[in-house]
Amino acid sequence: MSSLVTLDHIHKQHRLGNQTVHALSDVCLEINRGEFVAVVGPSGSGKSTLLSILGCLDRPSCGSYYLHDEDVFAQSKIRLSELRNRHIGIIFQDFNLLPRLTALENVALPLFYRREPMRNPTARARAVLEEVGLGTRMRHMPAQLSGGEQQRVAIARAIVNDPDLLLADEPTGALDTSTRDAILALLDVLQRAALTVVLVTHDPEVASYARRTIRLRDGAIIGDTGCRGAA
Amino acid sequence: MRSLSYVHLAFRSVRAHISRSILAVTGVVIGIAAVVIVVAVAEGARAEISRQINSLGSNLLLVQPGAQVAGGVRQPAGTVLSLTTADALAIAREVPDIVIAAPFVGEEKTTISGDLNWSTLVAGVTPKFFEARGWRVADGQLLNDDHVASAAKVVVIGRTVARELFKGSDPLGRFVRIERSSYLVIGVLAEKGQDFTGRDQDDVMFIPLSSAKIFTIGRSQVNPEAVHTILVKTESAQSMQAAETAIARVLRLRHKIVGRKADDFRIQNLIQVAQTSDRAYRQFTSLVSTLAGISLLVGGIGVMNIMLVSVTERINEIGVRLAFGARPQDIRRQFLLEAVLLCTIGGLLGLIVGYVCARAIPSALGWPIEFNGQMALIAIACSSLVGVVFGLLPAERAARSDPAALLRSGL
Repeated sequence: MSSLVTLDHIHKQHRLGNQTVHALSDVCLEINRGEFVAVVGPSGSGKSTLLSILGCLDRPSCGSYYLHDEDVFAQSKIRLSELRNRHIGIIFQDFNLLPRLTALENVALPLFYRREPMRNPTARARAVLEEVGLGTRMRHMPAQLSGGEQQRVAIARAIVNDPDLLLADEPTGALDTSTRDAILALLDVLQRAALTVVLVTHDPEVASYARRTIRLRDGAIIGDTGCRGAA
Repeated sequence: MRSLSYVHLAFRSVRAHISRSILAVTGVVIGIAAVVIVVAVAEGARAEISRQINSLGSNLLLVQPGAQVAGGVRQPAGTVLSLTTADALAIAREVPDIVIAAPFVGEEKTTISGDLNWSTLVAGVTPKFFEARGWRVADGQLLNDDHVASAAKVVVIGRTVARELFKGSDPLGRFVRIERSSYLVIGVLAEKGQDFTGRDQDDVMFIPLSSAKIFTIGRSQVNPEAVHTILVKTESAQSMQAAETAIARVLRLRHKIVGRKADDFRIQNLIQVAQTSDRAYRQFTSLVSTLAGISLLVGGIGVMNIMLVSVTERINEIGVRLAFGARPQDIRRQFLLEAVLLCTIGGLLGLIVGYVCARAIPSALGWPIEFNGQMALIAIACSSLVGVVFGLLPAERAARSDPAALLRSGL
């Protein structure tokens, strides 16, 4: 069977002034459905670039990305939006909740952009918020919530459209240790419920939650613990 | 359903920066207020002109004696008494499409009633005159053919004369002295107001043409049958041009004017005269229109500026929306709608400001104004249009922003 994600010789160059920076060079990667992958590496190693390509937020300079056997970057912008909407959920280090929307409205955001609208989007958003343990704080604004609660809202937002792939960019970077563990435990639960999770971190302790660790340095993969198991 | 949510979204966003939003739309407010004032004044002028045209009577031509040329200098019109009652009859008989040709003589006289006196225009007319102008009495009766035939000493007075000479008591059955003759008041005309030159049309009294010529206005030694004006009413507005030419031909023939010799009469179209009398309005409205245009331009730029700032500030929000499936056109629509909403709010405020300012115009400048629902529509449409035009660039910029920046900034 083919894998959920296939990266085929991905290169990414950023132009900084007159200097060209190789953010990713020749990255080949397969991720199967249901995996929990940690991407680790020092800062500037290309982790976030990799994540933004996986999240269809950025295009590689060359190389191909197959999601569900669909050649992602051969698609139109509209189709890319739809892929982001239905197949991918992202959580960020600084949560990136919209400050003027309530927790519930933040969670319902991806439902708002669904091409075929859900019959009762509010009920769905409410159910997901309850799933992440925030059933009682739905009407709160992000500023009224603690960091851990905000990240739970962000996770609920990322999974509300039942994506295949959950991408997390340093999801616990802004949280204290106990909150961090609670968030990671939540991701673990979600992953066991057949969600594929890719987590970017530079914290080895966080990476230890994942069952497969990919090491990046200077834009290239220098180690992959799960390669044999997955193949 | 979805577009409703976009409107809701735009409302929340504008409300979040309420003072900034209001400042941003000040230009739009001023511009729309100016639009409202222009429309109110233009509508007022139009209503006033049509009211005047109605009071003048429709489809009227005024035939008056021409100017005498003495030593190469044109004397004022009417210095030659070239028109006669016979001319009026001839016009009525020979020019097609004419309903009425009413002769008229008139002079300013001092009139007396009891111990009051009043200087006013005393006009000698036939019943046809009232028919041509469409004038009616408020009390009593108009002059009739018998009055003219018998040179009766009866008078129909205007409202102003009634007020000045009788001070509120009933003028009917009382007498007015004009020069050496006493005239019985048989009617008071319905109120007319001012004409387009500002003359009080109620400050007048009418006596039979024959009586005027015998007792009051006096015959011209040169031309005993002379009249000051012949009022001609045509069938329709379309026939006025043709009637003008035909009247000129008839009169030239009767007055034996041939070849290149100038007419000894002139023909005026009252409606054209009324319509050219609104130049002051037009200068004012073009001035305020310019102000409206400039304000809307400046206002639009203000809105564009604030929207560009807003796009920059909310680059994270845009990134998040894109990351969770918003299409570029969804973002474009959101920001465009916000600009339109902002401008429409400005338009509504402008409507109120303009209304208040326009209300002050009649007392400040003495011009009539008129409000209608169409004006509100124009104001809202203008402001929304400004929103669309000046919202396009910021919306485009928002739609093109790069969602990958979200992750890079987090690094």
